[in-house]
Amino acid sequence: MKTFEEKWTAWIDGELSDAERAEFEASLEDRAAAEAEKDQAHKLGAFLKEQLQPRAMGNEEFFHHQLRERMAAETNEPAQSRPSQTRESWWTIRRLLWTGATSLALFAICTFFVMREQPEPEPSQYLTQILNARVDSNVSPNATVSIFQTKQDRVTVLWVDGLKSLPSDYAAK
Amino acid sequence: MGRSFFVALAGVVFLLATAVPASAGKPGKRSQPGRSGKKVWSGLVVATNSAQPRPAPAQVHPLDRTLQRTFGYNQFDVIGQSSKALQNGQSSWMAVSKHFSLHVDPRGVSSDGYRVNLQLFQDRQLLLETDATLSKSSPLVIRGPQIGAGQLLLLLVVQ
Amino acid sequence: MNRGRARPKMDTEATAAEADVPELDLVRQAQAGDTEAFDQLVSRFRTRVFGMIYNMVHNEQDAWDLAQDSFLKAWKSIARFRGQSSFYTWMYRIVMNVTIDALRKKQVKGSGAEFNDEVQLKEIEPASRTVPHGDALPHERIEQKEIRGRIDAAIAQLSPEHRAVILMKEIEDMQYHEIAESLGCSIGTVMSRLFYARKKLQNLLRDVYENV
Repeated sequence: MKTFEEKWTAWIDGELSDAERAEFEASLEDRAAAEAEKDQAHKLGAFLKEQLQPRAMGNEEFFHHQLRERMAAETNEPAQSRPSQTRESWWTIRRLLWTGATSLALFAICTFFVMREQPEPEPSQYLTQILNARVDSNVSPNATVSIFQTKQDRVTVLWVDGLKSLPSDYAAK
Repeated sequence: MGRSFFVALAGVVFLLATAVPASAGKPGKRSQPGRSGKKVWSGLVVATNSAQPRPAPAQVHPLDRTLQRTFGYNQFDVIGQSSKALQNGQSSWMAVSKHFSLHVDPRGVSSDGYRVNLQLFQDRQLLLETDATLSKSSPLVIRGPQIGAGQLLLLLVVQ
Repeated sequence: MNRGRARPKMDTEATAAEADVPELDLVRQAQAGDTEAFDQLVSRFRTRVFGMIYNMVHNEQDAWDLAQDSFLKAWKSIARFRGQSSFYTWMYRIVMNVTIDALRKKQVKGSGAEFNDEVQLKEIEPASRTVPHGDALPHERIEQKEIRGRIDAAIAQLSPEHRAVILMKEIEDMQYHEIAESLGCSIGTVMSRLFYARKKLQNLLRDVYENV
């Protein structure tokens, strides 16, 4: 017993040994008040015991009958619900193994064909197109834009003229 | 339970065996917008003339003769570059340097290429904006402002 | 359900002959599958079980159903009874589990009374003098129905676990270790719960038991 509550409960119920009781009673600040409290606890206990007599069940035979029915149902149910485990199945172990092996082989073959090196795709027949281009007129009021393509090299050039020249330190990385 | 479980497992394996490779088919021409998945290389290049020009960087090398012929410069230095997959609905910053940055907004895929909106910023200022359809093996080159004795070029190549 | 006329008898229904058969023998026979033996055990304990459950749930229909559930559960698990405690203590554990579960479910559904085990600190000062309710007159008689109603209302304010300990201690006169075994908790917990349950009921029923 460690806590005060545990000692108090044991003292109320007379569960302390003589030595423990003496020690506990000596520790009480107000012995008279504690005794009054103990008396109250006993009164409560007696009151509850008197008032809360076991309630009559009523129709006990029906209780037994109902319980027996439920017990019987519990006993029969597992046997009835167990499915037959001796049904013949088309999927024998042999067939299962063959299906698994075939699936894996199929997977390996398909993966090989997918993962192998593919030839370089042909270059697109289309050239890069400029759909529109605009320069901020507030920044570069004199700028002009023109577009041309070098068909031999397939390079599309967006030529912007009139942008403000910048000092060489603008070439910093 | 045992047999039916294995039957179900065999069925799942069979489905996977056929469905997974079928879904990884060759990419064909798509006519509707979707996730492009194609990488686009973009580069901010400063083109200059030098008595002893350095070799063009690897990404620019395939284009250096065209660039020489078109713009009249013999040396090309990459000051910012990026290689990103275009994803519909996901705009992003691509080539970026100290003072310049390229913003790309993919707008979809069509039979002739990848629709994009491009914005070139100089510091916080929008220099120019263009809508283009980028095609494979057809680089786009944008002539930018003059920088010192050289010229800013913006390159975009669908890889 | 046709209950029929209630019998006034409160004791167990076992006949004199049946009462001679030791409880443990009946248990062993029931463990071997003898339903008649189990039926006799039910006869011996049904009134106490029903009464205990009724005091917990305050509803005859519920008490009936829970008593049935408790006995059925005992039948299904009787093979697990090892004789380390009395059969009634073992049975009680099942009864308490079934009843407390039902009360908890009822509370979750919102149809049960609110449990409030909190007791104001000032009310549980250990050695404080108790004072009868100021409004009640000492000579005033309280109707029996009202008394039962007050008791039921007071007990309803306890949590299922606190209800169980106070009823098992005060009505069934069970020992701490028997209560602990039935509820699956420690003896210290039983004693602690008794402390708070008594304090709470004293606060709620002081005016009743002082004036009856």
